[in-house]
Amino acid sequence: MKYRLSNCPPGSEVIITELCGGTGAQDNLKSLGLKLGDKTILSTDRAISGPLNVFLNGILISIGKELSSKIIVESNEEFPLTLAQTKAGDESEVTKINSNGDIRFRLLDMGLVRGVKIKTVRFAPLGDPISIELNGFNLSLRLNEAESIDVKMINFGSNGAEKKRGWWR
Amino acid sequence: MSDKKEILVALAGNPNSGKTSLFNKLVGANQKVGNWSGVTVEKYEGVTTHGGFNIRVIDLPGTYSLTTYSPEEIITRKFLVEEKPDVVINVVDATNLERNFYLTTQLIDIRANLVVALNMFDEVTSQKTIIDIDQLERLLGAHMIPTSTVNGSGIESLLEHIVDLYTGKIEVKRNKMNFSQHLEEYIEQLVKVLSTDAELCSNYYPRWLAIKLLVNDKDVYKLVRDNPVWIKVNVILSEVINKFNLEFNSDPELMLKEERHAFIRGAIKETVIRAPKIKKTTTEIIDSILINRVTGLPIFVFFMWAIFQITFQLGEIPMHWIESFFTWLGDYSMTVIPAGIARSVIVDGIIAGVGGVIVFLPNIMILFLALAFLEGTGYMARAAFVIDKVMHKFGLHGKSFIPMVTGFGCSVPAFMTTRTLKNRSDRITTMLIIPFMSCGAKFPVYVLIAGTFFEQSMAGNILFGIYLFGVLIALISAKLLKTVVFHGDSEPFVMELPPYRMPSVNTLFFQMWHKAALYLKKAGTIILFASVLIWLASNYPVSTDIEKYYEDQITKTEFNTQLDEEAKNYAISEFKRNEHAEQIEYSVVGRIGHFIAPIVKPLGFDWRLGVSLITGIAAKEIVVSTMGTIYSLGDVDEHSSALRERLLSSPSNTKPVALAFMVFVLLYLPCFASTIVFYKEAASWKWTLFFGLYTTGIAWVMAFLVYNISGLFL
Ligand SMILES: Nc1nc2c(ncn2[C@@H]2O[C@H](COP(=O)(O)OP(=O)(O)OP(=O)(O)O)[C@@H](O)[C@H]2O)c(=O)[nH]1
Repeated sequence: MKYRLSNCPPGSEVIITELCGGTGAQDNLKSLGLKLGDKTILSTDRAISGPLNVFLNGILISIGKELSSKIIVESNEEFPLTLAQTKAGDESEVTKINSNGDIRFRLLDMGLVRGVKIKTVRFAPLGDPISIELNGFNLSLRLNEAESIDVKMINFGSNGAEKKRGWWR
Repeated sequence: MSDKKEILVALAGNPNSGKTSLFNKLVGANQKVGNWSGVTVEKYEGVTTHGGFNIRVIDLPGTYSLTTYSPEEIITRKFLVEEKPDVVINVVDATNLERNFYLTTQLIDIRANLVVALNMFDEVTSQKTIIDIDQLERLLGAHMIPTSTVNGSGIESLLEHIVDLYTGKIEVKRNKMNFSQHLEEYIEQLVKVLSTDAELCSNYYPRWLAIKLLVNDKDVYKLVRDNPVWIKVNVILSEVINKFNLEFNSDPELMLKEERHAFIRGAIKETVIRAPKIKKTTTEIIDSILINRVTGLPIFVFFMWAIFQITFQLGEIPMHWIESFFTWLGDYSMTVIPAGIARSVIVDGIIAGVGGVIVFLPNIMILFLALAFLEGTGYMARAAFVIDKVMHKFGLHGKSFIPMVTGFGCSVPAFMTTRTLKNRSDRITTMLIIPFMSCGAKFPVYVLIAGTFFEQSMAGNILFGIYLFGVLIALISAKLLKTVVFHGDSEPFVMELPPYRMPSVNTLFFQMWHKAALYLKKAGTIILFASVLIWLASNYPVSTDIEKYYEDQITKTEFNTQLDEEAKNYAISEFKRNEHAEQIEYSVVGRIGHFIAPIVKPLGFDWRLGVSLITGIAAKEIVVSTMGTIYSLGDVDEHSSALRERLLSSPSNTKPVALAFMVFVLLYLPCFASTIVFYKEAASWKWTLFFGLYTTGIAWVMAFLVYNISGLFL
């Protein structure tokens, strides 16, 4: 299973498989000494929103949250992942809907059932809600609603490649 | 016409499937708008003829599903299940069958006489999508007709099908959607038990009841629970829930919905071939400009500003025409109707009252034309998307923004725009805080008071402060109401962002006209009645003593030889003004003013300010002119220096009083017209009463605080 490093829980053991992002991000990552195939262990004392502390080949380094989302890693374990943790451009598949009541009703009726494929299209200018594409149409949901949707990754969007596509994207 | 047979046809479909456009194509201008009883969802009805039949078409509200989640869904389902229309046309957006067919399968479940209109077929063709319609008809079990409201294709064929289905020339294709073995087993068991109840089955299709029981549908539960079969039904239901929980770690509701979606996906896979997508779609390109992270907010703000400007700036022009027309009509009536009570009732009461109703029309029409455009193009949902985060912080929904902005212009259309909010608590909360967005009619009051009591340089800041204070109170109120009164209940933001499309001019104008008609029909008459009442209250009863006293004074003056002509005229008009002032004090309104004097005393207001607040309930425009009357100045406006002097000369009128008065005007019960519209939109006396008490209560408390706190500094 592949994940973004930022979505891996503390204490997990992963292997770096891909570095994405624009050239700036790539340079940053390289200057930290990251290489494909490196084995990384996430430190267990991770702050909730602060930078990530990881043991890279035995050495403790600290990686910012934004940057760590550009590191794609592989793991033998399955980590929990929700739609809210995906990035614009990511493609994922619904594995479970955890909400109850009206919201669950509504999500199921709109086609958010197990097995459906979702593309995360964009985040609203203020960061919430998000817009997703499924079954050929666009749907928006709040982050707290997206948090109740468990997904598994299919494809990582060309995250961080904004620079190449121009400022307006 | 009347001897023709009538076919009752219902249009059902997802929002944005082009239902309204198709409805307009079918019935043209032959349509009327009303409300579904008890709820403020519009009901569109129209008539057309075909093949010797009258076809009555009901445009049901757009829904994604036939559950009972929103008022729209409840209405749609109730109508379809209980009225059993002769034919149901399911309008689907053929470029998005996956989602649209979900409703279709539910329509099949209730055994509607179904014809599916594959709308937007022009887009299907231009996207080079190929749909095997015959096979799709077989799989789903419904007639399907490609239509386009843009080029009009398929409309004739649709009418043909309606008539043929009705006359029995063609049969409804019936093909029940089969669920998996486990589910079907239980559906069958339930059907068997339900079938023993003849009465229930004569009204409802048992298979539909069975499916709805399995998905935990509250309404169907209630329906079945009162019948003797319930005992047996309940046994089966608990068994199935247990079994699914144990064996599949799931529940029947989830399984049914998953299978429904899977069935649709399968059917589409088999029948639809899409051309590979190479380019970005137009919608993607437009979205990448209109709602991207950098320009999204500024563009949103611009659109809101533009709507506000055209509604209230452009609307001002026809409003002036309307006002001048009614002034002219009043003056003209004065010349033809003999003086007396009848004349003053007609001129000052009725003509002015009708004018007061009509004067809101330009705002309502322009605003709803603009909103229909934003809605029809698909931007409206994006607007909510862009601003939702801010609104949600205060417990509101992204869609609450437009009503709030509109409130700065006028509460009447603002209340009407809250219909886009589907969740009742969201809607009521938004309506309750709209009056705190200071409306245009309150502006002259601030200008007068701020201009009178504060220096030029301060007045502007105070005006701004008042507006800001209103917004602050609105947002705090929203949060408070949402947490205390509604316990955090709010609509999930699961909302479609439809593809951008160009709405047809026809549809836009129909929608505008419908809003105007609704306003006139629903609110107009009551507003008229109320304004006549208020006029009466501020003019009656008339004190004959006062009348007589001034008559004597005027006669005396006229015969006073020591005065020249000019002095006489001046003295006479002075007497008349004083008489007017004393009469208003004697009238019902004046008495109420005196009566409430002790209540407003803690705010520093004397009875005169009290009376102007009372008349302000009729309309905020009247506050300033009432002050003119009551300070014996005759006709004045907010720039009148005479009025300013009078206000200042009263020792009880101090700066803290001025501030408190502005705050009170900002927050208390808005005008009568908007209160009526509130009542019509909320469809509840209780909420209207709460509305009156809440706004006025807040006004009193805030004015009290402002008066006392600013008294320490000023
Ligand atoms: N290309 C194309 N556009 C259409 C067609 N029918 C409707 N539209 C457009 O689709 C948009 C939505 O149409 P409406 O008729 O407002 O849809 P509705 O289903 O009534 O939507 P609600 O009023 O939200 O329930 C408008 O911009 C229409 O102009 C069609 O056959 N082809």
